[in-house]
Amino acid sequence: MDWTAKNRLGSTATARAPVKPGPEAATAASTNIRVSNGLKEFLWLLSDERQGKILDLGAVFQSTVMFFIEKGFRLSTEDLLRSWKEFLHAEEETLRSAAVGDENGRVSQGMLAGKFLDTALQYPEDHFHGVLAWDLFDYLDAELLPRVMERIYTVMRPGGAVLASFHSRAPERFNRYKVVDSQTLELVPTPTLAVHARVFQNREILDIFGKFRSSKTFVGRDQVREALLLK
Amino acid sequence: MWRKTEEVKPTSPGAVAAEPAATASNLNSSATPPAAISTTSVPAAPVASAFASTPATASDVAAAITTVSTISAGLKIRGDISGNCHLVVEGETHGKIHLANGRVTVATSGRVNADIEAPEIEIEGNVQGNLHARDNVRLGPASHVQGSVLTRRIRIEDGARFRGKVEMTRPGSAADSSGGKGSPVTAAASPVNAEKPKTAAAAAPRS
Repeated sequence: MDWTAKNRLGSTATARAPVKPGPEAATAASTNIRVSNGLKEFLWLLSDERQGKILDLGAVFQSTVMFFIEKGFRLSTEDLLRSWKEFLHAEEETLRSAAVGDENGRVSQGMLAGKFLDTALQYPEDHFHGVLAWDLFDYLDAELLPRVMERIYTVMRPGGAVLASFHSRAPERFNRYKVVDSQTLELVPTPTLAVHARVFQNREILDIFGKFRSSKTFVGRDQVREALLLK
Repeated sequence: MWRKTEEVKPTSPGAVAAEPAATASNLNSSATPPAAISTTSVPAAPVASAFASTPATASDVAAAITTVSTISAGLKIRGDISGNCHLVVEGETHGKIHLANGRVTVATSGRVNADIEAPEIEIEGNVQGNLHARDNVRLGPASHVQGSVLTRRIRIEDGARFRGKVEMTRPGSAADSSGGKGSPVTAAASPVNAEKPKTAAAAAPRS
Protein backbone atom coordinates (compact mmCIF):
# COMPACT_ATOMS: atom_id res chain seq x y z
CA MET A 1 0.00 0.00 0.00
CA ASP A 2 1.41 3.33 -1.02
CA TRP A 3 -0.23 6.66 -1.66
CA THR A 4 2.09 7.22 -4.56
CA ALA A 5 0.97 3.98 -6.13
CA LYS A 6 -2.76 4.19 -5.48
CA ASN A 7 -4.97 5.48 -8.23
CA ARG A 8 -6.39 8.75 -7.06
CA LEU A 9 -8.45 9.60 -10.11
CA GLY A 10 -11.67 11.12 -9.00
CA SER A 11 -10.44 11.72 -5.54
CA THR A 12 -10.69 15.18 -4.10
CA ALA A 13 -8.87 14.20 -0.96
CA THR A 14 -5.36 15.52 -0.98
CA ALA A 15 -3.12 16.55 1.78
CA ARG A 16 -3.51 20.17 0.85
CA ALA A 17 -7.17 20.10 -0.03
CA PRO A 18 -9.29 22.89 1.44
CA VAL A 19 -10.57 21.98 4.82
CA LYS A 20 -14.22 20.98 4.70
CA PRO A 21 -15.46 19.49 7.93
CA GLY A 22 -17.98 16.72 7.62
CA PRO A 23 -21.69 17.41 7.86
CA GLU A 24 -21.92 16.35 11.44
CA ALA A 25 -19.19 18.72 12.39
CA ALA A 26 -21.27 21.72 11.49
CA THR A 27 -23.69 21.00 14.26
CA ALA A 28 -21.12 20.43 16.93
CA ALA A 29 -19.31 22.96 19.02
CA SER A 30 -16.47 24.21 16.90
CA THR A 31 -14.04 24.45 19.78
CA ASN A 32 -14.21 20.72 20.33
CA ILE A 33 -14.13 19.75 16.70
CA ARG A 34 -10.99 19.13 14.76
CA VAL A 35 -10.68 18.57 11.06
CA SER A 36 -8.43 15.62 10.40
CA ASN A 37 -7.04 15.36 6.91
CA GLY A 38 -4.84 12.65 8.28
CA LEU A 39 -7.85 10.49 9.10
CA LYS A 40 -9.27 11.05 5.65
CA GLU A 41 -6.02 9.92 4.09
CA PHE A 42 -5.74 7.03 6.54
CA LEU A 43 -9.17 5.76 5.52
CA TRP A 44 -8.32 6.16 1.89
CA LEU A 45 -5.18 4.12 2.33
CA LEU A 46 -7.11 1.32 4.00
CA SER A 47 -10.06 1.44 1.66
CA ASP A 48 -8.80 -1.54 -0.31
CA GLU A 49 -8.63 -3.73 2.76
CA ARG A 50 -11.64 -5.95 3.26
CA GLN A 51 -12.33 -6.25 6.97
CA GLY A 52 -9.13 -4.48 7.76
CA LYS A 53 -7.96 -4.66 11.33
CA ILE A 54 -7.45 -1.38 13.14
CA LEU A 55 -5.90 -0.79 16.54
CA ASP A 56 -7.00 2.35 18.37
CA LEU A 57 -4.53 3.23 21.10
CA GLY A 58 -6.80 5.75 22.77
CA ALA A 59 -9.90 5.63 24.91
CA VAL A 60 -12.89 3.72 23.63
CA PHE A 61 -15.89 5.66 22.40
CA GLN A 62 -19.14 4.45 20.94
CA SER A 63 -18.95 6.72 17.93
CA THR A 64 -15.42 5.62 17.05
CA VAL A 65 -16.23 1.94 17.37
CA MET A 66 -19.37 2.18 15.29
CA PHE A 67 -17.71 4.39 12.69
CA PHE A 68 -15.09 1.80 11.90
CA ILE A 69 -17.38 -1.19 12.22
CA GLU A 70 -19.89 0.32 9.85
CA LYS A 71 -17.09 0.83 7.38
CA GLY A 72 -16.30 -2.85 7.60
CA PHE A 73 -13.22 -2.70 9.77
CA ARG A 74 -12.45 -4.81 12.79
CA LEU A 75 -11.50 -2.56 15.63
CA SER A 76 -9.38 -3.33 18.64
CA THR A 77 -8.91 -0.80 21.39
CA GLU A 78 -6.16 -0.42 23.94
CA ASP A 79 -5.80 2.76 25.96
CA LEU A 80 -2.04 2.58 26.09
CA LEU A 81 -1.37 5.83 27.92
CA ARG A 82 -3.81 5.05 30.70
CA SER A 83 -2.43 1.54 31.01
CA TRP A 84 1.09 2.91 31.29
CA LYS A 85 0.16 5.40 33.97
CA GLU A 86 -1.70 2.77 35.94
CA PHE A 87 1.22 0.44 35.61
CA LEU A 88 3.58 3.10 36.96
CA HIS A 89 1.19 3.81 39.82
CA ALA A 90 1.06 0.15 40.72
CA GLU A 91 4.83 -0.08 40.63
CA GLU A 92 5.12 2.93 42.91
CA GLU A 93 2.71 1.36 45.34
CA THR A 94 4.79 -1.78 45.32
CA LEU A 95 7.90 0.21 46.10
CA ARG A 96 6.18 2.09 48.89
CA SER A 97 5.07 -1.11 50.50
CA ALA A 98 8.54 -2.59 50.27
CA ALA A 99 10.53 -2.67 53.45
CA VAL A 100 12.82 0.27 54.10
CA GLY A 101 16.26 -0.52 52.78
CA ASP A 102 14.98 -3.18 50.46
CA GLU A 103 16.54 -2.24 47.13
CA ASN A 104 15.49 -5.37 45.31
CA GLY A 105 12.32 -3.84 44.02
CA ARG A 106 14.00 -0.83 42.48
CA VAL A 107 14.20 -0.93 38.73
CA SER A 108 15.31 1.46 36.04
CA GLN A 109 12.92 3.27 33.71
CA GLY A 110 14.06 0.98 30.94
CA MET A 111 13.22 -2.08 32.96
CA LEU A 112 9.84 -0.63 33.79
CA ALA A 113 9.16 -0.05 30.13
CA GLY A 114 10.12 -3.61 29.34
CA LYS A 115 7.98 -4.97 32.13
CA PHE A 116 5.03 -2.93 30.96
CA LEU A 117 5.30 -4.26 27.45
CA ASP A 118 5.25 -7.79 28.79
CA THR A 119 1.51 -7.30 29.11
CA ALA A 120 0.73 -4.38 26.82
CA LEU A 121 0.40 -4.39 23.04
CA GLN A 122 0.24 -8.15 22.96
CA TYR A 123 -0.88 -8.94 19.44
CA PRO A 124 0.30 -11.29 16.71
CA GLU A 125 2.91 -10.08 14.31
CA ASP A 126 1.75 -8.50 11.04
CA HIS A 127 -1.77 -8.30 12.41
CA PHE A 128 -3.08 -4.76 11.98
CA HIS A 129 -3.69 -2.79 8.82
CA GLY A 130 -3.90 0.46 10.70
CA VAL A 131 -3.02 2.01 14.04
CA LEU A 132 -4.50 5.20 15.49
CA ALA A 133 -2.48 7.12 18.05
CA TRP A 134 -3.81 10.57 18.81
CA ASP A 135 -2.08 12.31 21.71
CA LEU A 136 0.03 9.38 22.65
CA PHE A 137 3.64 9.43 21.53
CA ASP A 138 4.50 12.88 22.83
CA TYR A 139 3.12 11.86 26.23
CA LEU A 140 5.17 8.71 26.62
CA ASP A 141 8.36 8.50 28.62
CA ALA A 142 11.60 8.57 26.67
CA GLU A 143 12.48 5.03 27.71
CA LEU A 144 9.12 3.65 26.67
CA LEU A 145 8.61 5.41 23.35
CA PRO A 146 11.15 3.53 21.21
CA ARG A 147 9.98 0.20 22.61
CA VAL A 148 6.39 1.05 21.84
CA MET A 149 7.33 2.07 18.33
CA GLU A 150 9.16 -1.20 17.86
CA ARG A 151 6.16 -3.17 19.07
CA ILE A 152 3.75 -1.24 16.88
CA TYR A 153 5.95 -1.87 13.89
CA THR A 154 5.94 -5.56 14.69
CA VAL A 155 2.18 -5.96 15.01
CA MET A 156 1.48 -4.06 11.81
CA ARG A 157 1.15 -5.71 8.46
CA PRO A 158 3.49 -4.63 5.68
CA GLY A 159 1.83 -1.71 3.99
CA GLY A 160 -0.12 -0.85 7.10
CA ALA A 161 -0.54 2.75 8.19
CA VAL A 162 -0.07 4.58 11.48
CA LEU A 163 -1.88 7.83 12.09
CA ALA A 164 -0.40 9.78 15.00
CA SER A 165 -0.70 13.33 16.23
CA PHE A 166 2.00 15.55 17.67
CA HIS A 167 1.65 18.92 19.31
CA SER A 168 3.71 21.84 18.09
CA ARG A 169 3.59 23.41 21.52
CA ALA A 170 2.60 22.16 24.93
CA PRO A 171 -1.17 21.70 24.87
CA GLU A 172 -3.35 23.65 27.25
CA ARG A 173 -5.40 20.64 28.19
CA PHE A 174 -5.50 16.93 27.75
CA ASN A 175 -8.00 15.58 25.26
CA ARG A 176 -9.24 12.26 24.07
CA TYR A 177 -10.51 11.88 20.52
CA LYS A 178 -13.78 10.62 19.11
CA VAL A 179 -14.20 9.98 15.43
CA VAL A 180 -17.21 11.96 14.21
CA ASP A 181 -16.91 11.28 10.51
CA SER A 182 -14.23 10.48 7.99
CA GLN A 183 -12.39 13.75 8.46
CA THR A 184 -13.71 15.12 11.71
CA LEU A 185 -12.71 14.41 15.27
CA GLU A 186 -14.36 15.53 18.46
CA LEU A 187 -11.97 16.50 21.23
CA VAL A 188 -13.14 15.34 24.61
CA PRO A 189 -11.52 17.33 27.41
CA THR A 190 -10.33 14.90 30.01
CA PRO A 191 -8.68 15.28 33.40
CA THR A 192 -4.99 15.27 32.72
CA LEU A 193 -3.92 11.70 32.41
CA ALA A 194 -0.31 12.45 31.65
CA VAL A 195 1.96 15.43 31.35
CA HIS A 196 2.96 16.37 27.84
CA ALA A 197 6.48 15.03 27.71
CA ARG A 198 8.02 16.98 24.89
CA VAL A 199 7.51 18.73 21.55
CA PHE A 200 8.97 16.77 18.70
CA GLN A 201 10.52 18.47 15.72
CA ASN A 202 9.58 17.07 12.35
CA ARG A 203 12.95 15.40 11.98
CA GLU A 204 12.52 13.75 15.36
CA ILE A 205 9.13 12.43 14.36
CA LEU A 206 10.68 10.82 11.32
CA ASP A 207 13.41 9.40 13.51
CA ILE A 208 11.08 7.67 15.94
CA PHE A 209 9.29 6.16 12.96
CA GLY A 210 12.62 5.28 11.46
CA LYS A 211 11.62 1.79 10.38
CA PHE A 212 8.61 2.98 8.47
CA ARG A 213 9.17 3.48 4.79
CA SER A 214 7.01 6.45 3.96
CA SER A 215 5.50 9.40 5.75
CA LYS A 216 3.20 12.32 5.26
CA THR A 217 2.48 15.17 7.64
CA PHE A 218 -0.62 17.31 7.96
CA VAL A 219 -0.68 20.49 10.00
CA GLY A 220 -3.99 21.62 11.38
CA ARG A 221 -5.13 25.13 12.16
CA ASP A 222 -4.48 24.35 15.79
CA GLN A 223 -0.86 23.59 14.87
CA VAL A 224 -1.28 19.96 15.77
CA ARG A 225 0.63 17.82 13.32
CA GLU A 226 -0.75 14.56 12.09
CA ALA A 227 1.80 12.09 10.84
CA LEU A 228 0.76 9.27 8.59
CA LEU A 229 3.35 6.57 8.14
CA LEU A 230 3.45 3.38 6.17
CA LYS A 231 5.19 0.20 7.13
CA MET B 1 -31.56 -0.14 18.29
CA TRP B 2 -30.85 1.26 21.69
CA ARG B 3 -33.80 3.29 22.71
CA LYS B 4 -32.39 4.44 25.95
CA THR B 5 -31.08 7.96 25.94
CA GLU B 6 -30.45 8.47 29.60
CA GLU B 7 -29.55 6.03 32.25
CA VAL B 8 -31.80 5.61 35.26
CA LYS B 9 -29.84 5.09 38.39
CA PRO B 10 -30.90 1.84 39.99
CA THR B 11 -32.12 2.14 43.51
CA SER B 12 -32.56 -1.41 44.66
CA PRO B 13 -29.63 -3.60 45.51
CA GLY B 14 -28.83 -5.87 42.67
CA ALA B 15 -30.65 -3.73 40.23
CA VAL B 16 -28.78 -2.55 37.23
CA ALA B 17 -28.78 0.50 35.06
CA ALA B 18 -32.28 0.44 33.78
CA GLU B 19 -33.71 0.75 30.39
CA PRO B 20 -37.24 2.11 29.99
CA ALA B 21 -39.50 0.39 32.41
CA ALA B 22 -41.16 -2.79 31.32
CA THR B 23 -44.82 -3.29 31.90
CA ALA B 24 -45.83 -5.85 34.43
CA SER B 25 -47.75 -7.72 31.78
CA ASN B 26 -44.49 -8.58 30.11
CA LEU B 27 -43.41 -10.56 33.07
CA ASN B 28 -44.35 -14.07 33.85
CA SER B 29 -45.45 -14.39 37.41
CA SER B 30 -44.32 -17.97 37.82
CA ALA B 31 -40.87 -17.97 39.23
CA THR B 32 -38.09 -20.11 37.89
CA PRO B 33 -35.90 -21.76 40.49
CA PRO B 34 -32.79 -19.74 41.15
CA ALA B 35 -29.47 -20.85 39.84
CA ALA B 36 -27.76 -23.57 41.76
CA ILE B 37 -25.19 -21.31 43.26
CA SER B 38 -24.99 -19.38 46.44
CA THR B 39 -26.96 -16.40 45.38
CA THR B 40 -29.55 -14.12 46.78
CA SER B 41 -32.87 -14.09 45.06
CA VAL B 42 -34.30 -10.67 44.39
CA PRO B 43 -38.07 -10.15 44.32
CA ALA B 44 -39.45 -9.97 40.85
CA ALA B 45 -41.42 -6.76 41.19
CA PRO B 46 -38.58 -4.27 41.53
CA VAL B 47 -36.67 -6.09 38.90
CA ALA B 48 -39.41 -5.57 36.39
CA SER B 49 -38.38 -2.00 35.89
CA ALA B 50 -34.72 -2.80 35.96
CA PHE B 51 -34.78 -5.36 33.21
CA ALA B 52 -36.81 -3.80 30.51
CA SER B 53 -36.70 -5.51 27.19
CA THR B 54 -36.28 -4.31 23.68
CA PRO B 55 -39.08 -5.31 21.35
CA ALA B 56 -39.25 -8.44 19.27
CA THR B 57 -35.84 -9.80 20.10
CA ALA B 58 -34.35 -12.37 22.36
CA SER B 59 -35.24 -9.89 25.04
CA ASP B 60 -38.81 -11.11 24.80
CA VAL B 61 -37.64 -14.31 26.33
CA ALA B 62 -35.54 -12.46 28.82
CA ALA B 63 -38.47 -10.32 29.81
CA ALA B 64 -40.46 -13.40 30.72
CA ILE B 65 -37.86 -14.36 33.25
CA THR B 66 -38.74 -13.15 36.68
CA THR B 67 -35.99 -14.66 38.71
CA VAL B 68 -32.91 -12.68 39.43
CA SER B 69 -30.01 -14.29 41.18
CA THR B 70 -27.47 -12.08 42.80
CA ILE B 71 -23.94 -12.85 43.74
CA SER B 72 -23.63 -10.33 46.49
CA ALA B 73 -20.65 -8.17 47.28
CA GLY B 74 -18.15 -10.01 49.39
CA LEU B 75 -19.01 -13.36 47.87
CA LYS B 76 -16.45 -15.09 45.70
CA ILE B 77 -17.37 -18.03 43.49
CA ARG B 78 -15.05 -20.33 41.61
CA GLY B 79 -16.53 -22.48 38.88
CA ASP B 80 -18.84 -22.20 35.93
CA ILE B 81 -22.27 -20.70 36.31
CA SER B 82 -25.17 -21.55 34.04
CA GLY B 83 -28.89 -21.16 34.21
CA ASN B 84 -32.02 -19.61 32.84
CA CYS B 85 -32.49 -16.47 34.85
CA HIS B 86 -31.11 -13.01 35.24
CA LEU B 87 -27.85 -12.79 37.08
CA VAL B 88 -26.39 -9.83 38.90
CA VAL B 89 -22.77 -10.06 39.96
CA GLU B 90 -21.90 -7.74 42.80
CA GLY B 91 -19.19 -10.01 44.14
CA GLU B 92 -16.47 -11.91 42.38
CA THR B 93 -16.62 -14.91 40.10
CA HIS B 94 -13.91 -17.02 38.54
CA GLY B 95 -15.57 -19.26 36.01
CA LYS B 96 -17.52 -19.02 32.82
CA ILE B 97 -21.01 -17.59 33.03
CA HIS B 98 -23.49 -18.99 30.55
CA LEU B 99 -27.14 -18.04 30.57
CA ALA B 100 -29.34 -19.42 27.82
CA ASN B 101 -31.84 -16.70 28.51
CA GLY B 102 -31.69 -13.69 30.70
CA ARG B 103 -29.30 -10.93 31.37
CA VAL B 104 -25.94 -10.87 33.08
CA THR B 105 -25.20 -7.68 34.93
CA VAL B 106 -21.84 -7.03 36.48
CA ALA B 107 -22.45 -4.29 39.01
CA THR B 108 -19.97 -1.59 39.90
CA SER B 109 -18.56 -3.68 42.70
CA GLY B 110 -18.61 -6.84 40.62
CA ARG B 111 -15.62 -8.60 39.17
CA VAL B 112 -15.70 -11.45 36.69
CA ASN B 113 -12.57 -13.27 35.61
CA ALA B 114 -13.98 -15.43 32.85
CA ASP B 115 -16.04 -15.37 29.71
CA ILE B 116 -19.68 -14.33 29.83
CA GLU B 117 -22.24 -15.67 27.40
CA ALA B 118 -25.85 -14.52 27.57
CA PRO B 119 -28.45 -12.80 25.41
CA GLU B 120 -27.87 -9.52 27.17
CA ILE B 121 -24.82 -8.36 29.07
CA GLU B 122 -24.42 -5.18 31.04
CA ILE B 123 -21.10 -4.26 32.56
CA GLU B 124 -20.64 -1.62 35.22
CA GLY B 125 -17.77 -3.30 37.01
CA ASN B 126 -14.66 -5.20 36.05
CA VAL B 127 -14.48 -8.09 33.61
CA GLN B 128 -11.45 -9.95 32.36
CA GLY B 129 -12.86 -12.24 29.75
CA ASN B 130 -14.76 -12.32 26.51
CA LEU B 131 -18.33 -11.12 26.23
CA HIS B 132 -20.63 -12.96 23.85
CA ALA B 133 -24.15 -11.64 23.73
CA ARG B 134 -26.79 -12.84 21.33
CA ASP B 135 -28.63 -9.55 21.60
CA ASN B 136 -26.68 -6.68 23.08
CA VAL B 137 -23.83 -5.56 25.25
CA ARG B 138 -23.67 -2.39 27.26
CA LEU B 139 -20.47 -1.07 28.79
CA GLY B 140 -21.32 1.45 31.48
CA PRO B 141 -19.30 4.53 32.32
CA ALA B 142 -17.49 2.84 35.17
CA SER B 143 -16.93 -0.44 33.39
CA HIS B 144 -13.52 -1.93 32.79
CA VAL B 145 -13.38 -4.78 30.33
CA GLN B 146 -10.43 -6.72 28.99
CA GLY B 147 -11.46 -9.15 26.31
CA SER B 148 -13.30 -9.43 23.05
CA VAL B 149 -16.90 -8.44 22.56
CA LEU B 150 -19.05 -10.37 20.14
CA THR B 151 -22.61 -9.18 19.84
CA ARG B 152 -25.27 -7.81 17.55
CA ARG B 153 -25.48 -4.44 19.22
CA ILE B 154 -23.19 -2.61 21.53
CA ARG B 155 -23.52 0.47 23.64
CA ILE B 156 -20.41 2.06 25.08
CA GLU B 157 -20.89 4.87 27.56
CA ASP B 158 -18.29 7.59 27.79
CA GLY B 159 -15.85 6.71 30.51
CA ALA B 160 -15.94 3.00 29.82
CA ARG B 161 -12.59 1.34 29.67
CA PHE B 162 -12.15 -1.38 27.16
CA ARG B 163 -9.17 -3.31 25.94
CA GLY B 164 -9.92 -5.81 23.26
CA LYS B 165 -11.71 -6.40 20.03
CA VAL B 166 -15.27 -5.61 19.03
CA GLU B 167 -17.00 -7.80 16.52
CA MET B 168 -20.58 -7.60 15.44
CA THR B 169 -22.71 -10.58 14.51
CA ARG B 170 -25.71 -10.68 12.25
CA PRO B 171 -28.93 -12.54 12.96
CA GLY B 172 -28.87 -16.16 12.02
CA SER B 173 -25.15 -16.48 11.82
CA ALA B 174 -23.46 -19.34 13.59
CA ALA B 175 -21.86 -17.02 16.06
CA ASP B 176 -25.23 -15.42 16.73
CA SER B 177 -26.67 -18.58 18.23
CA SER B 178 -26.58 -19.00 21.97
CA GLY B 179 -24.00 -21.68 21.58
CA GLY B 180 -21.74 -19.35 19.72
CA LYS B 181 -19.68 -22.13 18.24
CA GLY B 182 -19.31 -20.63 14.83
CA SER B 183 -16.90 -18.05 13.72
CA PRO B 184 -18.05 -14.47 14.05
CA VAL B 185 -19.40 -12.59 11.12
CA THR B 186 -18.34 -9.03 11.35
CA ALA B 187 -20.49 -6.13 10.48
CA ALA B 188 -18.45 -5.67 7.36
CA ALA B 189 -20.82 -7.83 5.43
CA SER B 190 -23.91 -6.40 7.03
CA PRO B 191 -23.47 -2.91 8.33
CA VAL B 192 -27.19 -2.56 8.90
CA ASN B 193 -26.87 -4.82 11.89
CA ALA B 194 -24.74 -2.34 13.65
CA GLU B 195 -26.45 0.35 15.59
CA LYS B 196 -26.28 3.47 13.51
CA PRO B 197 -24.54 6.14 15.49
CA LYS B 198 -25.85 9.62 15.51
CA THR B 199 -22.58 10.93 14.29
CA ALA B 200 -21.42 8.55 11.62
CA ALA B 201 -22.58 10.20 8.46
CA ALA B 202 -19.49 9.91 6.37
CA ALA B 203 -19.41 8.20 3.07
CA ALA B 204 -17.60 4.93 2.76
CA PRO B 205 -13.98 4.98 1.74
CA ARG B 206 -13.27 4.91 -1.91
CA SER B 207 -12.73 1.49 -3.32
